[in-house]
Amino acid sequence: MDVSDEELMARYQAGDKPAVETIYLRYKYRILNFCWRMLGNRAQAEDAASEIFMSLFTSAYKMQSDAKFSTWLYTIARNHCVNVLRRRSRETACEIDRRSDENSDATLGTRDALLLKESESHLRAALEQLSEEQKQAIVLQHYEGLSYSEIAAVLGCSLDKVKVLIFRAKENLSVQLAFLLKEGQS
Amino acid sequence: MNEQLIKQLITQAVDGEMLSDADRAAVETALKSSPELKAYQTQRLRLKEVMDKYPDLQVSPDFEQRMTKTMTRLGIREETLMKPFYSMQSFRTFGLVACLIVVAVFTLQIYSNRVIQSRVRDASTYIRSAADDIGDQYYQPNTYSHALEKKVIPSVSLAPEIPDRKIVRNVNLNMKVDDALSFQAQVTQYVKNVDGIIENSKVDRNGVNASGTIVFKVLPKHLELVIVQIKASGDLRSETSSAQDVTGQYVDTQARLDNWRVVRERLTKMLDESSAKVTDVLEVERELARVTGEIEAMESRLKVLSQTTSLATVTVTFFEEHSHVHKFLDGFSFKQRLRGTLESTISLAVDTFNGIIMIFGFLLPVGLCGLAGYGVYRFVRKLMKR
Repeated sequence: MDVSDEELMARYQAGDKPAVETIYLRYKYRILNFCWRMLGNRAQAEDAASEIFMSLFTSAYKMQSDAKFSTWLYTIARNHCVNVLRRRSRETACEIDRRSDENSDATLGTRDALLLKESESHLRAALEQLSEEQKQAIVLQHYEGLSYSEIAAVLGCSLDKVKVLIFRAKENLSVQLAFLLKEGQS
Repeated sequence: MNEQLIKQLITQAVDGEMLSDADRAAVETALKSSPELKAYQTQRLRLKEVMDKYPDLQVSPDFEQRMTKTMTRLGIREETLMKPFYSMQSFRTFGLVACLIVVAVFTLQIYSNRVIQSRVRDASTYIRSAADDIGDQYYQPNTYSHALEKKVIPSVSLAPEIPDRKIVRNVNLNMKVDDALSFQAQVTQYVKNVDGIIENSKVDRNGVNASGTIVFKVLPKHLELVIVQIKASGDLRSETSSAQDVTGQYVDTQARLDNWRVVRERLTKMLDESSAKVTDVLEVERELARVTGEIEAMESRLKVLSQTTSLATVTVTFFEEHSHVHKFLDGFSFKQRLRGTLESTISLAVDTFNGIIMIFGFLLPVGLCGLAGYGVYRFVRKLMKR
C-alpha cells in the first residue's frame, strides 16, 4: 500500500531525508507541466520547477500537519509562477516557447501532426488571453485534476469565486477556440 | 433560476463536480426543456476534448540531472559510487576492514614466531629423549656431545661438510631471554664444554630490561650442538648463518708459497757456490731476503686462513622484554620502585606512540589509494557529464 504524501512529509520533517524523494518522483511531472502551462516556456518551466522543489526540500517544516500536501505544493508552485510572470512582464515581452514539436505524437501522420500542432498553438494562445487568475484556475482544474475546493485553497479565495473564474475562463476559451469547436461538430 | 446560473451548473457538472440535488434537478429540467442549453452542454464537452490536445511536457534529462544534483547536495539522495567515501556507515565499514587487516598482519607475525619457537622446542625435546636413551636422565651438556656422536640427533646443516675444503662459518642469533645474566652464564658454560673461546661477552641494564652480546668461536663440528643448546635457552627472534668457501684462496696461496720455496732453495744453492763474484753474491742475498719475506707473508696468511676456517664464529645478541608494569619486588626501595615505574611509563608512552605511527604508516597507502580512486571517479564523472 502506498504511503500518503502527508505521511512522507512527516517522515521528512522527522529527519528521514530519502522520504521526500518519493514525493519528488510523484510530483515532478505534474509540477513541471503546471509551470509549463503557466509560463509557456520550457526552460523557464524547468527553472521554476527546480526552484519549487528546492523550496519543498528546504521549507518542509513550514507545512502544517493538517494541510493537504498537494494543495500546499500547488500553492508554492502557483506563487512561484506568479512571481516569474510578474518579473517577466517587467523585463521583456513573453516569448512563447515553440519547441514543443518533440511532444507531438510521432505515430500520427504528417497531416494529423500538423493539425495537432495547430490546435495546440491555438489553445496555448487562447490560454494566454485569459486573466492570470482564470488561467491558474483552468490549469489547476483541467490539467492538474484539482477539485474546485482544492483550487480555492490554492488560490486563497472562496469556492464561489472559483466557480465563477472557471465558468468565465471556459466562456472565453469557447470564444477563442470557436472555430476548433465547430470543426469538431462538423 | 436564470440561464447564466444554469450554464455555470452545467459547466460544473461537465467538470465532474458534485451538484446538490436541487441544482442537479434544475439542470436536468433545463436540459430537457431547452435545446440551446443542450447545445451548450455539448459545446462544453467538445471544449474539454479540445483542451486535452494540449500535450504534456516530458521531463528532460537536464532537469533530472539538475534535481539529482540538488538532492545529493541536500543529502536526500546518495550517490552509489560516492557512498563508500562519505557516508558515516561506510566510514565505519572502512575502519573495520582496516582494523581487520592490521589484526591479521599481527596475527600472522605472532604465528610465524610461534612456529619458529615450537620447532626449536621440538629439537630440544628430541635431544632430551636422545639423552634419556643413552642412560642419562638429567640434562647434562655431555649428553649432547654423546648423542651427537651416536648420531641420534638430527643434523642441522648450516653448510655442506666437504672434506679438505676451507669454509669460514659465521652465525648470528638474536634471542629474547628471561634473565640476561643467567643466559650469559649458560652460554659461557656451553662454549666451555666444547673447548670454545669466548671473544667478547657483555650485559647492559637499562631500566627494567637488560641486553647483551656474546661472541665466541668453536670448532665447526661443535657448532650445531652449541646452537641447538642456545636456542633451547630462550626465544629465538632471528637467526642468520653464512658459510664462505676460501678453498681456492687457500690452495692458490699454498701453490705460490711452494714456488717461492723452490726459488729460495735455488738462491741458497747459488750462494753456496764459491766461484761467484762479490757483486753477484750481494745481488743473490738481496733477492733471497725479498723471497724470504714473501714466504713469511704467505705462511702467516695461510695460518690466518687455517685458524679462521678451523673455528666457527657465533655472535649471540640477547635481550629481556619484561612487562611495562613494574614488579614491586621485595627488597626494592621506594625510590627504586618509583624510578622503575616512571621508566616503565615513559617506555610505554614511547611504545604507544611508535605503534600509532606504525598504524598510520600502514593505513597511509590505503588512504592514498582511496583518494586516487575517488579523484579518478570524479574525473570520469565530469567527463561523462560533458
